[in-house]
Amino acid sequence: MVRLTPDQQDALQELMNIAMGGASDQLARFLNTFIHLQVPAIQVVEACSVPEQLSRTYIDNDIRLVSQGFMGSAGIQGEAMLLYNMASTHHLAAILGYQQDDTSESEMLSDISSILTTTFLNSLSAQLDSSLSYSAPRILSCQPTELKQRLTELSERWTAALQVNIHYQVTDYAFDCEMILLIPGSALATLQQRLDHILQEF
Amino acid sequence: MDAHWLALPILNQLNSGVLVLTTDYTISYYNQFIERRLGVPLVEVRDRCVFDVFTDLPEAWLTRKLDSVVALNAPTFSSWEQRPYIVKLPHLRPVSGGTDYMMQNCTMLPLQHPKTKETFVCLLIEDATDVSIYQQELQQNMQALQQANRLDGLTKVLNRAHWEELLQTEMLRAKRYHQPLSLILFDLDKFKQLNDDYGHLGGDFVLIELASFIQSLLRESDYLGRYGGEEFGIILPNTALQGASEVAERVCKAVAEHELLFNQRHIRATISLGVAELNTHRHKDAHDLLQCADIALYVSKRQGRNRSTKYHEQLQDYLQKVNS
Repeated sequence: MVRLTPDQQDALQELMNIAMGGASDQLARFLNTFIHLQVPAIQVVEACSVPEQLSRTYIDNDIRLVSQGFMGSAGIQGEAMLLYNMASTHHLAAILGYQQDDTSESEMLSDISSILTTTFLNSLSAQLDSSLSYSAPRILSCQPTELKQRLTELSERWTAALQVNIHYQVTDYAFDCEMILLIPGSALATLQQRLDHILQEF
Repeated sequence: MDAHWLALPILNQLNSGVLVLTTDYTISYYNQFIERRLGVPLVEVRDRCVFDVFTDLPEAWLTRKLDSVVALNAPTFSSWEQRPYIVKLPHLRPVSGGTDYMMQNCTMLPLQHPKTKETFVCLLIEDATDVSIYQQELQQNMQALQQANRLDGLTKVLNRAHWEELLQTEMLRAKRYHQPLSLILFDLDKFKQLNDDYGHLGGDFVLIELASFIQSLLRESDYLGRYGGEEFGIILPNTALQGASEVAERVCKAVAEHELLFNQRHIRATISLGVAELNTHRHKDAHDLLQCADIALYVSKRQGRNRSTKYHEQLQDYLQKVNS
């Protein structure tokens, strides 16, 4: 298991903070509203520990899992997963500015996921001097019982998981989601090199 | 190799649609894929508003999506599963499988002109008609399989496994919401005799005909299942003993009056029924309730068949007496 040194962890947290700031700034301008964003708490864990942990957290909840692949230069690649607790997503249509009857729930989830993932990762990759391509978001699971199986299938492909908890508060509405970036060992090594490079520059 | 010359021929040969719009939604370009299916040359519509050219676009939704691509400088996606198509185009699939238009996956990408720095949105439109048809077929097959898995091969009422599963579920529901639940078990009278008189085909014929006849007498919320051989069960959700007993009487009478015609021979069959209501204190599981209905059914048989009996606790004593 590749582990981040405390310095690398700090540097990554800082990059994430900046990325999240950039993303929420863009988002606020797009949605034409004020967005309050908590500093994301990040954690690098082994991918295989994610299914167990998340299925325990979400066991009683109505949740949705949306996944979107990303790939950039210099070996940066992975899969971004967003977990939504449906109890907190009633206002998605209002947040996105859609007319409720025009758009299905799954479409709204795909759209908000794509927006959250791409704005955040674009922001992050810009700091790492890379640019990313994305696959279309896919809704993977609706049932808590399926969640663990789905996560297990996914995590088997990846080495490390970067867990980022995001809490968005959009003026009148709040919604929570959890972002998990699953990345292969090789991409993590690339990331570490970039982090070391950034650390040396300071 | 200078690769610049490649762009145009590839754009035109590409088996995907490429539609480029300005930030105020006018058409800047589309490739042959779209041109040929649309039947309108690009020169005729260039610089016209996309919503005037493609009149049935979902305007509010699409402008929101296009704006997000520009504002966030990030791609956005649309899948045929959520929105069958964006641009209404014919598909080239000979056997359409019921879809008149091309199912589409669409990626909307931000583009920037290298010199003028003007922003455009590129819509990459992929034909997903094949995938959608396979998906549709798969779902139909899955449904058929699931149904086959739930029905009794001979009589086409619910099979025992699925019927028992439903009984469990309905018992839990009844307990949770404090609603009554009743159960009828019934048995074809003298089935062996029927088989002897009319042969096994005749016996099967009676089972099939009666199952479908009784099904037609029930409410949609009642579940008729074949419990085994010539024994059937009916789950009656939200029904107390008296109501269930009335159903049983009605079914019993209707069956006795229902004449069946098999190989030019008239067959009259009768059934015996046992009715029991769920008692949440006494009945721990489905088996306990089934047993009560079975005792009532036994009493019906014992008392001369072609009748229904309501279960009550004294029946146990009655059984002990007649059996001793």
